[in-house]
Amino acid sequence: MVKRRDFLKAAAAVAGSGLLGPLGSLASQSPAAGESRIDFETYLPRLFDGKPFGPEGLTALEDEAGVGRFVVFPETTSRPDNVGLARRIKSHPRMIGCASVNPTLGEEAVKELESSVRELGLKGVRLSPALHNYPLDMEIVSPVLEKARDLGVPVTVDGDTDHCRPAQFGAIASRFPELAIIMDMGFRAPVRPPGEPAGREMKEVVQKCPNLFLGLTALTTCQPAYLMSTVWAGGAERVVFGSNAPSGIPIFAVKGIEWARLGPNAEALIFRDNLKKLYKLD
Amino acid sequence: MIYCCESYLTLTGNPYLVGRPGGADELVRLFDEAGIQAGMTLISGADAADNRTVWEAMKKHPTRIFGMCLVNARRGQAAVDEFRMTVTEWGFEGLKHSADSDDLVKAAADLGVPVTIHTGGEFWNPQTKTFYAKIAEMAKKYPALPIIMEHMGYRYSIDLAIEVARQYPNLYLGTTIPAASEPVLVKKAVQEAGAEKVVFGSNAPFALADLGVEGIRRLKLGKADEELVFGGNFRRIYRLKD
Repeated sequence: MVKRRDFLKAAAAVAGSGLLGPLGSLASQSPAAGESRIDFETYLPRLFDGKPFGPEGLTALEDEAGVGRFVVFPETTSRPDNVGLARRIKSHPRMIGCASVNPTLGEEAVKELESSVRELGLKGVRLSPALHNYPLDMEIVSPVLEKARDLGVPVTVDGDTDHCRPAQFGAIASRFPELAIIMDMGFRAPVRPPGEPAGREMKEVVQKCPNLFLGLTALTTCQPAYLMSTVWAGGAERVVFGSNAPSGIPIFAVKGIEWARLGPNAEALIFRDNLKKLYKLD
Repeated sequence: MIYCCESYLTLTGNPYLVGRPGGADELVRLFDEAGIQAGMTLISGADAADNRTVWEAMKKHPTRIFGMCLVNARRGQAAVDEFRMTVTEWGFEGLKHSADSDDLVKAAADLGVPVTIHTGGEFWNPQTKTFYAKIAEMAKKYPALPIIMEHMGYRYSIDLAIEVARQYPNLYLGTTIPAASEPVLVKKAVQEAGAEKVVFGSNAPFALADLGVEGIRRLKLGKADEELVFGGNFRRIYRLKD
């Protein structure tokens, strides 16, 4: 019988420098137990499940999952309401407000990002190539990425549709090496277990682009093969925890990752430490 | 009682098990963990297994594992013959299908065996709309044949799946994976298509079945609707005797 540990060893062997090495080497950096989790992706729609939804509802979901701080994006519309988001989260210091912009709007999107960060105090930006209907590596995206780089804020992007495949992430991550990019692995994560040819591309892109991080939400973590393959592709240093709340359930995402029994050091990186660095949190 | 409309019988070593054991006993253990009484079960494409593997599992766990036949439609008449044999001789009760062989669907309709189709796709792609139109065409052609759309179109095509489910009384929505990943999608399906059209599925062992069950429970659908989703619709579709 192949045991989980054997799988991880196999993954490391296939990868050359995979999961086990980096995790072992970080043993001394294990953070204090009990420090709370950070969620890389939540949303604050005004209506959810047919009812009014607000910061309190989102906070309750995160409390249940032991999440301390959480990145919050506005609802993805053709012109996301970043001003409204900033207003709604103002008295909620656990929320790390981030903008969402639509690069198909051209210069307007660039200005929106700049004012969101400089005037509203938002800390990052999300791109949604699927819902805004543009390929991630298209030239219209470059001005937004240049602005994010200049502002020093991370960019979070959908990663599970035809508009945003691993090679497209590789293209933008190579073009903007100073820019931290979080790829939301989504529902059909473009990863496969070690030994499966279709999984190599993602791992190669991650190895080539040190500024690329892989985000696991409840959409991915309920499917062990995608979850483990993401960790295999990225190594724990390049994987971040998230929920996609309120649509995804944070405690489900936590349970999925805990199910994988990656060990305390890897969990500390995934649940917290990687995002602390990316968002420059205390 | 909870019934599952889609689960997989895997072999140990299947790469998608990522190091976990496979086999019938393990599947039943996962069912137990999630409180699932029984599930429609088919082989995984990643294993060197065939329908006989499922038949062996059915014999070992007759009240827990119900056979769902998987055949390669490209084999033509041989595929149809194998499907018929699994039903008439081995007691299989379902067919997993890809909407590309009318001969197989016709055989399922003749035998009175429900069909399950994997659904997903991105609503902005023209071929996605064509795919759902084919399912609608199938439902129209065989009105007495229950057809379950597994995954309810996933997140990017759920509206298409609900739309066709509402049009045809014999089309159902399988909660497989969305119940765990985004439970609110299941609630949308219940509200827009009706609880009598939604069937619980776990996708075990490839998804965490207990999260799927918990996802449905958290929706607070009400006792009657929850019972339909977890078991009532399954029992009706697969004609289970009490």
